[in-house]
Amino acid sequence: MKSKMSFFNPGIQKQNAKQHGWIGLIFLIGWLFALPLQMILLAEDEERVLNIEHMYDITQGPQTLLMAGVPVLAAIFLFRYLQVPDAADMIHSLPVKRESLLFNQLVSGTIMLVVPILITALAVSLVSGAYPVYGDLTGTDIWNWVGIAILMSLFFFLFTVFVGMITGISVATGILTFILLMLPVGLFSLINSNLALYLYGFSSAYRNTEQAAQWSPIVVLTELGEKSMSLGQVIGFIAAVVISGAAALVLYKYRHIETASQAITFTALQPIFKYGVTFCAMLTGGLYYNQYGSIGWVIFGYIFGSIVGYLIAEMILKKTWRVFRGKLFLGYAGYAVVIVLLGILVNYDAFGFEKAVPETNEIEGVYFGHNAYQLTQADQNEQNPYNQSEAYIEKVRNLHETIVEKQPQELPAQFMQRTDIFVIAYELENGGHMIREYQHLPSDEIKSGLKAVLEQEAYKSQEYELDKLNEKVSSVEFVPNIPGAVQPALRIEDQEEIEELQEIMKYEISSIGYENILNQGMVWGNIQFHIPGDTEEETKSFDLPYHKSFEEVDTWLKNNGYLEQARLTIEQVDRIEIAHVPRATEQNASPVRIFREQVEQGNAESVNVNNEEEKNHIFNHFSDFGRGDYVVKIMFDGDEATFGSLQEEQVPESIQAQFD
Amino acid sequence: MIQVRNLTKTFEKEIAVENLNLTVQQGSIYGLLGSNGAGKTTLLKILAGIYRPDHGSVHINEQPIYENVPLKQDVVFIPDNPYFLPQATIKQMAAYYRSFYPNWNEQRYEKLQEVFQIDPKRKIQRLSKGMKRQVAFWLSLATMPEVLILDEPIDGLDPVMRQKIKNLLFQDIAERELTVIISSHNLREIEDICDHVGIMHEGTLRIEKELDELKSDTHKVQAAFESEETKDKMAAGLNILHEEKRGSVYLFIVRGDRKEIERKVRPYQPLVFDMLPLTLEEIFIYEMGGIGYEIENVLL
Repeated sequence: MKSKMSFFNPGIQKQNAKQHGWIGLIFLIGWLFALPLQMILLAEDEERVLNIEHMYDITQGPQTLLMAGVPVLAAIFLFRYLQVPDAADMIHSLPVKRESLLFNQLVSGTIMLVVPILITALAVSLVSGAYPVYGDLTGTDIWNWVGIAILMSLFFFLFTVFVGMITGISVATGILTFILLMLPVGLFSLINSNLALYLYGFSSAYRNTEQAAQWSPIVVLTELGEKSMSLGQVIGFIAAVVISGAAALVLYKYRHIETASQAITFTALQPIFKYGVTFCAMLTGGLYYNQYGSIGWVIFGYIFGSIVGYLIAEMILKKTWRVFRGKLFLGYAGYAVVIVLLGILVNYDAFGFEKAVPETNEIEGVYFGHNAYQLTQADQNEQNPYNQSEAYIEKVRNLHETIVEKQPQELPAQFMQRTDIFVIAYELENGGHMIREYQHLPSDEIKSGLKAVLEQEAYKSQEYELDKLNEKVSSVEFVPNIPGAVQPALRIEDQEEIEELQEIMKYEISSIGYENILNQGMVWGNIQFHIPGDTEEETKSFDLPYHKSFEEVDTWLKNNGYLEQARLTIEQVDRIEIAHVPRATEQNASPVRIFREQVEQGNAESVNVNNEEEKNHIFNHFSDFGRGDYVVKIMFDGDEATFGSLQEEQVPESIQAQFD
Repeated sequence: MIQVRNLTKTFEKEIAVENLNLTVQQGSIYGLLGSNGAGKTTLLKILAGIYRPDHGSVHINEQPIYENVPLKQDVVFIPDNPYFLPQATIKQMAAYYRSFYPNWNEQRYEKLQEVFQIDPKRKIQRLSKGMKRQVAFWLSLATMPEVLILDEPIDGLDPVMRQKIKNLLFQDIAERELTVIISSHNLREIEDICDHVGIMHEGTLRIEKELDELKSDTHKVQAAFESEETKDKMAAGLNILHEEKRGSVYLFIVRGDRKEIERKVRPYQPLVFDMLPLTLEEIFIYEMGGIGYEIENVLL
């Protein structure tokens, strides 16, 4: 009888209901406004077209707020007795065990959170029954919602209880809860982007934040409308609920009651907190000053950030701003020594990261491309992005070795085009992967290696998704890249013509050369292929560039009388103005900007191109963007104009001569 | 019976209680004296099972108190600033206590209302400091404790109420062998109720004494003699703790039986002879001798 009474204590329950019942009430009112009431409002609004398929279509933001906010509040209030010294003393002088106190508070909290959700679900099902517009909202939808809402509410509740055991201040409980929930994602992206600053070849895009964020409860909540939780996530959160509860119990048993009102209640955690804050602040400071592009400022950011973080952490722990003592600086000095050593290790590549190229016999497959996200996506979709061809493996490996040996300096860049980034990834025999990413390498230094890779069939079929060209295509559209210049765009639906075009494109891509692959701005526009599906929604499409070097396509279009509809032609050009601005595009600034800043401001001279042949040549070779020593302004009949850049060898010598 | 063995408790790096030993017999009232910061409150909170000691043990009736629910049902702690649940009335608070203490005595609770004369429907937070303390006593006594731990309980009570509470304590001690440990920084406040006194200073228990024994054993003697030599001869035969001269009259603090002292002094034919009782405060100051300077600060 005695032990039973000590575990579930009606006195505590009654007191909790009296003292904290308002939280449950707020939760209930919040839910009623967010769901059933909102449903009535939506349904009564006759002008609105409703498409409600699940509960998150009704409201999203308020739901997130309720699931993440109120449970945290409930935990803070229910466990406030632990954080107020007088209350903590009184409650713990009572004849009741800590596990029983915890149990009773958790029961109260669970009731406060679960009952409103159940009542809301009942109200929702009543409302959805009353209005036919909610026909798509099935009982399963509602039950699913009940499950997720309870799970997430309990997760936030128990996690906050757990955090409350670590800290002795109610406000800190709330702040620390959200910091800890965001920390893994934040820290991950901070470390990721900082490593990219120092490790030549480190790919910060491969393991990106988005991927890490799917385990952040707050992110999961905000995305419930777009994607429902996976079974793995559900199990993960159930585990997190249980672990949080168990951890809270263990910490509670070891917690000293006198630590109420202290920032961090466990002495062992204080240095972790202190140096953790210092470290995060340091990384943030470094990243912030990285935008000014000088290593000196980055180091300044590190020092400044770490000092600020260290002092703030110390002030929080000591609960005073007057923390400046000799010993304090000793602690910081110790931290600084460790970080400098770590920095030296990373910077001098003590782990052989920058130099590592796997041996040929260790390589199972290889990927070469321009976007690490492709790899990430392939992982998610369980596709294999790696190519097993031995010749290709050898060529990519050779290129990688050249890069690793020469380590050419990455060029500064304002704009990035796809081919400025090289991603090299290996699938290794031992099942591991190795991913490297290089940006803005000067192509001259690695030309032969790069050429060998880019002109491989394997690369082209991946980059241009060649296998799709073999599929049945229902229509082809030519989309010019200068809007408004060609109207209307060409659309081909004749099956025979489409098949001819598919063959021509296959040929063009298989014969496109290294320079033209890299010169992605030298295009007339895009060619869009539509692959029919069973329904309109399933219709897919893919784009291929209409590169200016695709002469066979030009010929075919001309023969069929489509050329003028498919792209701009020289006949539409009124005037061409060209200027020699050496190195201006080195940072990949856009031609229009260079033209405006240099030529129109009178900093660089320009000449009009009058010779028809020269005009034609320039028109057929200029790029919309990319590096080049010449910039051009092309004016069409009417007021339209476009700007572009040209590399030295693309400009006729007679024009080059005019600038000497 | 309360037994404390080698108790040590530190807060971060500050030592609050250091290697402390203490025994309180059942049915006695133990006065714990000490200046602010001596470690009294910490000791009492460990005795009440609130704080967990770093080293050493606390046993009440031969059982450890920490997280011991059946034992804590018989032990009640009243802090120097009693805490009550927010917005609670006395009646609600009584119901709350009732759910924790199986020995709760409703009759006693109702009877005590006559003593304290406060309307049980009043919200405790609105009461004065002294009244809150009365409520704390009221609720605590209604749980029928075996051990009562009181931290500076007399502060803020008017003399009449002090007497009433003292009487209640005496009554429980006599009837049920209640054990009381009571802390104060002022000896005068508790000297009339304690039978044992301990003095804490800087985390340690410096002195532990039984009061009756002390009182009957130490005396203040005022005497004048014809010559210095006579005085010296007389003094040689006595256990003198303290001696001073005021004009021609000597003041001695002497330990020993009253009659025995008189028998020893008379033969020297003192010109003036007077024997006076000592206040407890004086006894302590003189008794402590060497460490008296510390204790003096504590007591006055």
